[in-house]
Amino acid sequence: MATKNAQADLQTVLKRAARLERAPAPVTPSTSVTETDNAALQRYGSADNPPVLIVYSLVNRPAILDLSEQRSVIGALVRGGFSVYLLAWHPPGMARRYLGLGDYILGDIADATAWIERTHQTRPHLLGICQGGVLALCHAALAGAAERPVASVTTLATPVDTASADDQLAQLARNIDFSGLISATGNITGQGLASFFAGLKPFALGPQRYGALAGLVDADDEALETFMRMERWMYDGPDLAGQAFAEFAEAIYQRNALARDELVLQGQPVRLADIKVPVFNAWAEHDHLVPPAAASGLDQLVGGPCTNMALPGGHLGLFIGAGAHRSLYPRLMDWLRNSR
Amino acid sequence: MTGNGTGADPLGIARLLAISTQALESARTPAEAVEKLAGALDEEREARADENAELNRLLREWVRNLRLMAPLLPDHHPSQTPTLGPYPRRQDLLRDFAEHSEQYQQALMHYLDALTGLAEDCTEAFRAELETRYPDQLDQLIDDIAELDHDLLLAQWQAIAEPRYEQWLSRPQTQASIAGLINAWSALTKTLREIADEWLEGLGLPSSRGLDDLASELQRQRRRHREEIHSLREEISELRAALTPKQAGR
Repeated sequence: MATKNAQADLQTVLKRAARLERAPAPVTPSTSVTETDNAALQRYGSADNPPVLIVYSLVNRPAILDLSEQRSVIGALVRGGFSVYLLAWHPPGMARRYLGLGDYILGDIADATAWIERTHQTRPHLLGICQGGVLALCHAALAGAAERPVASVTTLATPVDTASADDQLAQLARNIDFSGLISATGNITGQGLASFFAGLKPFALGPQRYGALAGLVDADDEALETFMRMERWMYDGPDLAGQAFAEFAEAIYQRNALARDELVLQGQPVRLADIKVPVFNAWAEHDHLVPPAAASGLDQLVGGPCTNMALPGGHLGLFIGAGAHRSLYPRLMDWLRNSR
Repeated sequence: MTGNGTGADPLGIARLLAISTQALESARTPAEAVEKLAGALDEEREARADENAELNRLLREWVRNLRLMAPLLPDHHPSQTPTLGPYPRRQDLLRDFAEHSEQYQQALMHYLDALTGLAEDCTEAFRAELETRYPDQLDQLIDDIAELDHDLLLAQWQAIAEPRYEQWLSRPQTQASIAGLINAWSALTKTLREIADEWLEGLGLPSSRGLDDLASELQRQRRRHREEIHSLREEISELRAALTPKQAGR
C-alpha cells in the first residue's frame, strides 16, 4: 500500500527538487570558439588533441551527453585525449522556419568542419547522435564525393533504414501530411514533440518514473539534480525549423531516402557509398525510437569499413547507461585513435 | 425491388416507409438525412419502374424536391455549390473552413472512438484480473478502497494497460486515425490562419502570410550568401595554391 510514509517521502523529495536549479551549469566546462549560421561551436578540453566534432540531433538539447560526471559522453572523450567540439544548435525563431536540412548540412556542419580543419590542420572525426547521425552521414557522403573526406564517422542510435515493420516512428509517420502540418504551425514546438515522444511510452515515463521519485528521499542532491536535469532534457527541447522537420520526416521516415540513395540536398545527391572512411556504428537492442533494424544495416550501405556494436538497453542507455560507459566509449576511443 | 405490394398495401407503402426510416437512421446531420432519403427512394423508384406509373411519377417528384431542399440546410456540403459573384477567394476560404471544420470533427470523433475502445478493453481486463485475484470480494474491496495497496493496484493496472496500449498504437487503424486527426487539424488551422490573414491585410496590418514571405526571402538570401562565400573561399585556396610554387621558385 502507498503508505503515509511513502506519500510524505514523495512530498519531501518534491520540495527538495523544487529548490534545485532547473538549469544547472554543464558538468564539463567548454569554450565557444566560433559561430556558424545556426549554431555555436563549443570546444571541450585541450585544443592540442585530435578533434572530434559531435553533431547532435535537432530534437532535444545535447545536455544528455553531459548529464553527470560519471555518465558524461563528452567528459569521457575529453579524458580519453580528444579535443571535443559540439555544434550547439540555436533554436530557430519563426524567421528561420524555412531552414532546411541542406542549410544545416551544407552550411553549419561544413563550416564547422572547415574551421576545425583550419585550426587543427587535420580533418575531424564526426560523431553523430541519433538524428545528428543522419546529418553527419550526409555531410560525410558529400565530403567524400568532393574528395575532402572527414577522418571517420561514428553514429550512435542513428535511423538509416526505416523500412522495417517494427519501426514505430516510421509507421506513425507514414500517413501524416508533414508539409500540411508545418504550413499550419510554422516551426514545430519542442514541447509538443516531447509530448508526442512521451505518448509512445506513457506508463514508463508517467507513473513508473514519478512513482520512483519517492525512493530518492535519502539520495543526495546530486542524484536529485540528475533526475531534474533529465526532466528538463525530456520536456524542454528546442523548437524545430518547420522545413527541416518536414524534410527529415518525409525523406527518412516516409521515403526511406537515405537507405535508398534517393536523398538530394539542394541539388546534391547524397550517396552513402561515397563514405570511404572508417565508420563506427552503435545501437541499442531495445531502442523503441531507433530499433536495431533501422540502425544496423549501415555497414551494407557505406563504401568503407564499418565496425558495428550492439548494446543491451534502450535509446538513452547508449548515452547515460553504465554499461555503455563501461564498454562502448572505451572501445570507441580506441577505435578513434586507430582511425585516421 | 419489385413485388412489394400486397392485398392490404398494393402500392408497397410499408416498404417505402421502412427504407425511408433506414435511410434517415443512417444519417448524422439534417442535410445528409435528406440526401440519403432521396437516394434510397430514387433507388426504390427505379427498381419499381415497371409497376405503377403514377406512383413512379410522384416518387420522382418527391425525390427532386428533396434534392432541392438539401442545399438549404445548414450542414449542406458547401463544395457542392460553385463560387459565384465577387470576392471568390474569400468565399473559397469560408467554404474550406466549413469543410475542414467538419472533417476535423469527424477525425476527432474517430480518434476518440479508438481511444475509448482501448480504455474499455483495459478496464474490462483489469476488472477480470481483480475478480480472479479477489473472488467474491470485489464489491467489498471497492468499498474499502482506502485500505487497498495502491502500489500493487497501480502495478497491476500497468501490467494490463501497457501492453494493450502498445499493441493499440501499433495497429494500422490507430496509426491512420492519429494521422487523420493531425492532418485534419493542420488543414483547419491553415484555413483559419488564411482567413485571419485576409482580414489583417484588409486592415493594412501585418499578416502571418506576409511574415512567411519575409522568412522565405531571408532564407533564400542566406543560401545565396553561403554559396558565394563558399566559392570565394575555393577561389582563394586555388590562388594560394597557385602562388605557393611560384614563391618557392624565386
